[in-house]
Amino acid sequence: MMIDASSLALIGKHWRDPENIFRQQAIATAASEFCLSAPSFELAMDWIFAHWTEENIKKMCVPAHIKNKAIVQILAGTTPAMIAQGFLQGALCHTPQYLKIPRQQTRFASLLYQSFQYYAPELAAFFTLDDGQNREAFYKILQKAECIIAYGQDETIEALKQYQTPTNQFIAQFIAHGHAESAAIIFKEAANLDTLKKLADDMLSYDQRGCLSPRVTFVEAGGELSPAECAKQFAESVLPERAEELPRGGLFDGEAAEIWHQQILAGFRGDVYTGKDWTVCYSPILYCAQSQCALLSERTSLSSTLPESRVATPSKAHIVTAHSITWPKIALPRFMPFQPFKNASILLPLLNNLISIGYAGALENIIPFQKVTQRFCKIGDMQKQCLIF
Amino acid sequence: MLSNLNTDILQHILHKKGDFNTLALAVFAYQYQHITSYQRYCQQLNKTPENIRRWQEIPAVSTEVFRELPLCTFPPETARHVFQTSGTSDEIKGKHYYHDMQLYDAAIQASFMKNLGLVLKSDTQEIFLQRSLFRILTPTFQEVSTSSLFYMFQQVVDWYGDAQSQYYFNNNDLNCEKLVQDLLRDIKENRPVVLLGTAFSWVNFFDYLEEHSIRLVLPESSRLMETGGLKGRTRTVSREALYQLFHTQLGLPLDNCYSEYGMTELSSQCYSLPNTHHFISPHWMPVQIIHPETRCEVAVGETGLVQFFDLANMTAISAVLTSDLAIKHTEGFELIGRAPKAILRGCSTVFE
Repeated sequence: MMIDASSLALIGKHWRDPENIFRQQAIATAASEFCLSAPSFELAMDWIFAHWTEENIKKMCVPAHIKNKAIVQILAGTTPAMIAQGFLQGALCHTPQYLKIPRQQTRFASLLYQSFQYYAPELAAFFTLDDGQNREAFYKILQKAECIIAYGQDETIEALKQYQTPTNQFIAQFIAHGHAESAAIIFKEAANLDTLKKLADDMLSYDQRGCLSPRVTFVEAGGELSPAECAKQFAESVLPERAEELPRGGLFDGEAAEIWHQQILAGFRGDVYTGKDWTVCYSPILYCAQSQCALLSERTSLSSTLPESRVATPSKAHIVTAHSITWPKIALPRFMPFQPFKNASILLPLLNNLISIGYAGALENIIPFQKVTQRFCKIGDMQKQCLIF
Repeated sequence: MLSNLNTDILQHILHKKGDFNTLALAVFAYQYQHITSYQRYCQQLNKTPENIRRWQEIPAVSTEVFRELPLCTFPPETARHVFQTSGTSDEIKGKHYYHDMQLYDAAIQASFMKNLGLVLKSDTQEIFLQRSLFRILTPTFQEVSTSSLFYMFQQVVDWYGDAQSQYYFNNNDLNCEKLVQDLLRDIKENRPVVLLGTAFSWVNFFDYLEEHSIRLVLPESSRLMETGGLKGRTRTVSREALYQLFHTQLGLPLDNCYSEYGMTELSSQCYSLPNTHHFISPHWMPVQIIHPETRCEVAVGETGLVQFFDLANMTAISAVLTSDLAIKHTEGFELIGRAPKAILRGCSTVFE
């Protein structure tokens, strides 16, 4: 583990180095794979690899239920963070790792793999990269895998589920991470320009496409800036400058049309502010649908389709973790709704099942939210995820 | 003001009297004055009746807003008809409130028969052909009183229909057997028919014909109109394939098959030119095909979102932005479907 930590830390150090050839190539050629602009992708590299230090990596330990197992990782990701995490975790497992990378996002994965080969060939040897073009071969590998870790949209999980038939079951543990969402909360003592500047980084860094990107910002009334003023200041004083430094990348199909429709809708609900590549809106009433772990039962039924004897194995096989939620309905790049609240308790049911909550204000305010989220952190650090397994 | 404007619009719809831009600006001023939420929205955009000179500048409202707010110039509870968008039961439906149907009816009268080639034109007037025998593959308006399409069919049958005109959709099912029976009689008696149905219902009907190895050759001068999406109960077909079926299964020349494009949020309809899939909007409802990113009108051959300004929507909102994508043609526009919904994206994409 010591050797791994130092090798991985070395790789991280090189990826943080602006002169590093792998990093430079990734910024030049792979940013578009994630619909990110080059400056945003560069910032992403800084944040992702900032945590790849020997000290941090040594703290990571491989969970018992996947130890010594041949693992297939399905890395479907709209941010490079997920792919990097897949490599890091895979390297620590010390077992053969088959990494299925998205067909349209092969460039970054290939460069990261090459950097492993270059700086830590002993770790690179664990990996096999595949974009899954040969579907039959891929499913054969799934059949043989001892553990399948899938990061994917609900359709990903559904596709895997569809593949299974009574005579064609995966023997593996199946760990599914579905779609996840995050939100930001500004308590009244922190409703100021400084907080909004930090929020801008959380919003702009991955064009709000990451699981940890805040989809909506709730602002407590009674602070230096009212919730409506927060939205206005964010749009007029904060975003124009920061968005100039971190321009938005491209748009996926349908996003431009949806942004237009949602801007109009937001204009009817309250105030809407638009910039070259961003939208901020404020509505005086809560418009979020209640969060729900919509596909949790689906996921559970995926494992329940497996033979009972397998489900009941002592190694706790077929662990199903789902973060899938259908909240909020608006999930567009650089589209930030601000919503007011007076009593934080009304947010609790709305924020149930979020993967992450960013907050600004006194720590005690956020304590009740520990129950409803997996992670909470300061606004400004939402995208700076610590290494976890 | 209301009655004057209403009359002016009626004159424009029915007789092309008056200047469209002038009427559009008057309609905007009227809607701005009476729909508070619209007024507030327009003020945010700094687009008011005082500073707008061209109808193209009038702020359009997304069809999404019709799902959330009652957009009407009168108290919604006084509406005579409330049409609703279709969709699954748990979906929030868009609503269009009508205080009276005068403009809606005028829009049908000015376009339906003419666009189906059922009007004779002389130099001085338009003459309707003899009353038509309608065969309709949808429920009646009495059965589904929230459907603007079924309302239109009801009016058309009332105004232009032969006494034997009939609906063939009962108890949630298309009565294909009866329809075939009646069409065979029409063929035998050589009576031209006007068939009206949703594309969905046509797909179902053709499935039935195929299942029973039936092919019909409808009397000359028969007409067919289809509308709506192309997803059938059993399969989905392309528009081209559907039209081919009109020809092969019903013996209709493609020149006699028409497509209608309408929606709950609008009071007027577009019809396709014969033997093309290019829709033409009526003179009182000009269309713009707008690029969703630049928000500018696209050039011929390019794709964008369809946006209308419908004068007949006087008591709602006239400038309506749809979610439909279309290619702009020299004459008309060609629908290519709904803009794909932007999907939720976290750290995950679709598995391929």
